[in-house]
Parts: sequence; C-alpha cells; structure tokens
Amino acid sequence: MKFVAGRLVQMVLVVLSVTLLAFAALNFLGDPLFNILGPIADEASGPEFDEVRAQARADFNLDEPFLVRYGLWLGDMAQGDFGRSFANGTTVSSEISRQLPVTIQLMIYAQLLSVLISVPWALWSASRANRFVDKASTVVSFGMLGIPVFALAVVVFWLFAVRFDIFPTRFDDETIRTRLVSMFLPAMVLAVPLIATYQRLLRTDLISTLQEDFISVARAKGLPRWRVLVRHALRPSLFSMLTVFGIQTGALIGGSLIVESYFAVPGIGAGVVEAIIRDDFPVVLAVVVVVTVIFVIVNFLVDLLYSFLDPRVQFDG
Amino acid sequence: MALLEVKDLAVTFATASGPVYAVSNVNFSVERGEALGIVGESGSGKSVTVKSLMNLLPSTATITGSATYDGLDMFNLASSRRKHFYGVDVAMVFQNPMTSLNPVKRIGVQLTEGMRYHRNLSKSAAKSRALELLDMVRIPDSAKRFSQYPHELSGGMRQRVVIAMALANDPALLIADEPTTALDVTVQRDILDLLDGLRRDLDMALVLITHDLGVVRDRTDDIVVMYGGRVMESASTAELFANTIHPYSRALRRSIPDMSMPRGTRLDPIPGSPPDLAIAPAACPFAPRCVNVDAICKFSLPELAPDTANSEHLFACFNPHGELNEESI
Repeated sequence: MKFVAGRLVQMVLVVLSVTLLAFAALNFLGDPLFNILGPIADEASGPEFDEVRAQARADFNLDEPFLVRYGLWLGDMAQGDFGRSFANGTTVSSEISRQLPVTIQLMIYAQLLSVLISVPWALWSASRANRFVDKASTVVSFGMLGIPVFALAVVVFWLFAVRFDIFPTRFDDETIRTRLVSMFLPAMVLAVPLIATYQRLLRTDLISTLQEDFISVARAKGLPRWRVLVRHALRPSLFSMLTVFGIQTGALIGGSLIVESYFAVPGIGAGVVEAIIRDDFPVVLAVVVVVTVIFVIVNFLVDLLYSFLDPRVQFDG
Repeated sequence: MALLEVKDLAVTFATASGPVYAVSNVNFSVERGEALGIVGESGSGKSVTVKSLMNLLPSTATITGSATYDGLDMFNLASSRRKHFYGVDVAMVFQNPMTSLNPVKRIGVQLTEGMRYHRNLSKSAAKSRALELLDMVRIPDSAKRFSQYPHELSGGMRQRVVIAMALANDPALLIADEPTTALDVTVQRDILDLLDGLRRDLDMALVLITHDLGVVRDRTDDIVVMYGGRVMESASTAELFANTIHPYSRALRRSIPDMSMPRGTRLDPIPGSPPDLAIAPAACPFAPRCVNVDAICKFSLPELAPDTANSEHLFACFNPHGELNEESI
C-alpha cells in the first residue's frame, strides 16, 4: 500500500509538471492573448472582437499573475471544466467526452491486436531461434518497425479500402460490429510497429528464458514442447514487453493524431489536429492534460502488473 | 535384461570452431532397483551422457551408439511411447535447486503438472498425491508449502521439491545429476540419504552423478569413472574400492579426505586440468596428468577391457601399475 501511495503522489507530480509546462508555453511564448486568439488578438477592431478579447481575458484570467492564473485554470480542470473552444464556442469538456471514448477504443483495439499477434509470433520464432524461419521473421519485423505510420496509412487505406474494398473507407458508428470493422484498418496501422517491437523484445527474452534450468526440468517432466513454452517460458519473459507496452501508450497517442485524421476517425487525435490548425488553445491544453493522465495511469497499472508476473517483486520490501 | 543399457554412446557438438567430442565410447548398464554412480570431474562428460539419455541436448549435438530402456531403443522411441516416457519411466533431478524451479509458479502447480499431463489426474487427486510426495521427501508443513513460491523455500527444501517432482509418476529409473553440489554441506548428506532411502523404498533404479567418490561409496552398487568424455574404469563399488586399477581413479581417491587418515595427512590433488575436447581423441586423455604415463599412452587410445582377475571390472589403461617406462619401448 505504501508503494501505491508513493506512486499516486508521483503521478500527481507528473500531471502537475506537464500541465505547468503546457500552460507556461501558452502564456510565455509570445503574447498569451495572441496565442489564444491568433491575429484577432490585436489587429481586428470592432465591438464583436472587443467582446471576444474580453471573454478570452476573463476565461484565462489574463489580468492575474501567472501562478494564480495557472492555479485557477487547474482548479477548473479538476472540476471537469476545460473552458470553451474559441472556434465554435462549445465547451471543451463536451468535445472531449465525445472524442475520448473513440480514441481509447482505438488504442485498446491497437494494443489488443499487437499483443494477440506479437505473442504467438514471438513464441513461434523463439522456439526456432536462429533457424531460417526465425531469421526471416526478424527481417519482416524490422521492416515493420521501419515503415512510418503516415506512409503505412496511405498504403493500407488504398489497398484494403479502395483497391480491394474489404474494409469501409469511412468510420461507421452504427453498431459495435460496424465500429470494429471500420476501425480495423486504423488500429492495424497503429499496431504494426508495436507488433514488431513486442515481437523483438519477447523473442529475445524468451530465448534467454529457454536457457534456464527450470525449462530443462519442465522438459524432463515429459511435458510437450509447446506446453513448456507457453506455461513455463512465457510469463517470466514478459517484463521487457510489459514495460514497453506502458511507454508505447504515449507513442500510440502520437500515432493516433495521424491515423485518426487520415481515416477520419472522430477521436481526440483528429480533434487536436484541427484545434492546432485553428489555434484553439483551450482544446490543445485539455488534450495535453487528458493524454498525460491516460499515460500516467497506464504506466501505473504496468507497475502493478510486475508483481502479478513475478511473485518475487515486492513493492514494500 | 538390464533396465538401462548404454552401448558405445558418443556425443559430438557442432560448434563454430569445429566439433567438440564431449562423450565417446561410453558403456554401462543399470539393473532394476540398483544404483550406479558416475564419477568424474567437470568436463568429464557425465552430465552430457545423462542429458543425452533424457533428450535434453541442444540440436547441435549428434548422438551415436545406443541406449535401451527395458529393451526399448531410447533414441528412437515411437512417438506414442515417447509422449509418456520422460517424467514417467525415467525422471531426473538436476544440479542446482535454486534454478530448477520456475520462480513464477507455485510449488503445487509444478508438482502436479506432470501427473495431470501424463495420468490425467483430477486437480484434487493430483493435489493429494503431491502432498503425499512432499511428506515422502520429508518436507514439513506440506499443505503450506504446496501453495508457496520457490523463493519462499531454502535450497535444501527446494531440492526436496525437485526430487518429489521427479518421483511424481513412480519412475523405474531416476537420474540425479550432482544433486547436492549446489547445496550447503550440512544438507548434502540429508539429500543423499533421502535419495538412497527412496530408491530402496520405491525399488527404483538410480543413476547418481557426482565428482565425489566419497558420495557414491556407500550408496551405489556399481561405479563408472569418467574422464575426458570416456569411461576410464567401471566395476562394482566394492571391487572398485578394494582394487582401484586406473591411475585416474587412484588419483581421485587420493584427492578426497577420509576420516581414517592420520592427522596431518596432506591431500594429493591431481595436477593439470581436464583435456580439450575439441581435439578428436587419439591418445589417452589422462596421459598429460598421469603419474604412470608411458610413450604408448601419448599416441594410442587404450580400450576399455576387463581385468584378468575379474571380468566384471573394466578399465582403459596401458600402464595401470607403472610397470612400463619410456625406455622399455
């Protein structure tokens, strides 16, 4: 429990520092009002612009000192009040609560595909370490690591949605089934580099685990090869993969900016790209906060999973 | 018919720098219920020999010769027979109990999985058998140990668990590869006596591998002494100790402390180190370290042959009694 408490404090500190940085960037890199409103901050004149300017000053407490401003903003955030989008006047929280579930689904979908494909693949190639099939699969996985997400998105979209028409070209929210089918391509594009990463890590760890005495012991018990592999070698080999699983959650959010925009998935990634183009800083800030919180929570869960994987990992020891 | 009969066994490993002749010309047999000791220093090929029998060698190993279990060719088992052979007919105890158990699986799971796989026992039947086994290897508090993880047990306790695991399906042959080398001296004797007692109680054959002649002296019926991947001498235990023929066996005996030695007696270590197994054997592997070495030992390989006085006592030496000397050739 001491461990959990310590990690919770750490998590709060991480969220605080990331939000402080983002908020400071908005406030100190140039005139905050300009950052918030763009050119209309000082150039445009007329009563309607005066009104917009006044609203922005009020919303962001621009007349207060920086730290007070940050504190007030943070307080609003904590209560779920992310401010109002300057682009269309809707509240940011309503935008986010609409987009976030889609993105989370996409991320879970991509991670699920990655794990479901990489684990059997790693088991298969580790059990044939350094033979031809293993070397060939090494080439394939390095290829998968090398392809940039944007290039892969274009190729995959053209091939499977246009040329062969296997998957729909548009996001379809009708039923769970159509949602899963229409999100398959974007999830797969996100998953490709993850599959390769997990396969490399797990394969290496499996090969070293397979050298362990307890594997010989299990084989001397007369258990079949695959059973030894799955029941004895897999779990002690999952550490590196699990660590990277947590870290890759961050990369996945980055990847979702491209993939969601390209496949027109109405998630937070597509939303933030639009917001950046429109200089819609309240939205950008809110997304930074949400993404940080997700990242921190996932990595906290990963830490908890270590002790599940290996009973020797004691947090309070 | 002997339970285990090994004939002309040879194991060669393919390595990047050429073949390594780990084991050659190994012959021995074990009768039902009897104990055989295989003695030799590191690199003598004793572990490789039993690993080849257990089908645990990597794919770089080439095995020639034959090994039969109850008349069955162990190197060419029919797949249906092989499926329930290892861990059922033949089981093995390994050298290091600290690494022999899977650190992330409970003792109970590791104890029962073999029985459940080979005999299709139900979970509860397997558990009661496992508790019985834990009592048999004298682990107190068996019910508590059953649900613990390996790291919660001491080295001696873990080796008892490993032994219990090996006994799960009542093997007729148990192979123990230096089962006490990694343990505290204080528990070594307990484990050896436990193995010895279990062998008698369960009427099981035992192949006990060790580098310590003292370990096998009172616990085995026969002894095979190995060096450089070859059998140097083999005889019944009583005969070997009464009439040690091979200079290597004698050197081994002299290097082991004995309570009956007079105070102040110095042990006599064997100078030099084991041979390089990457060179195809063409001369007696022990020649460079042998006190009785003669010219012939350096260019010819002695065959394993019976002693004139006792046809069951085999040894591979040109000059066991130092009668030859270099000038005589």
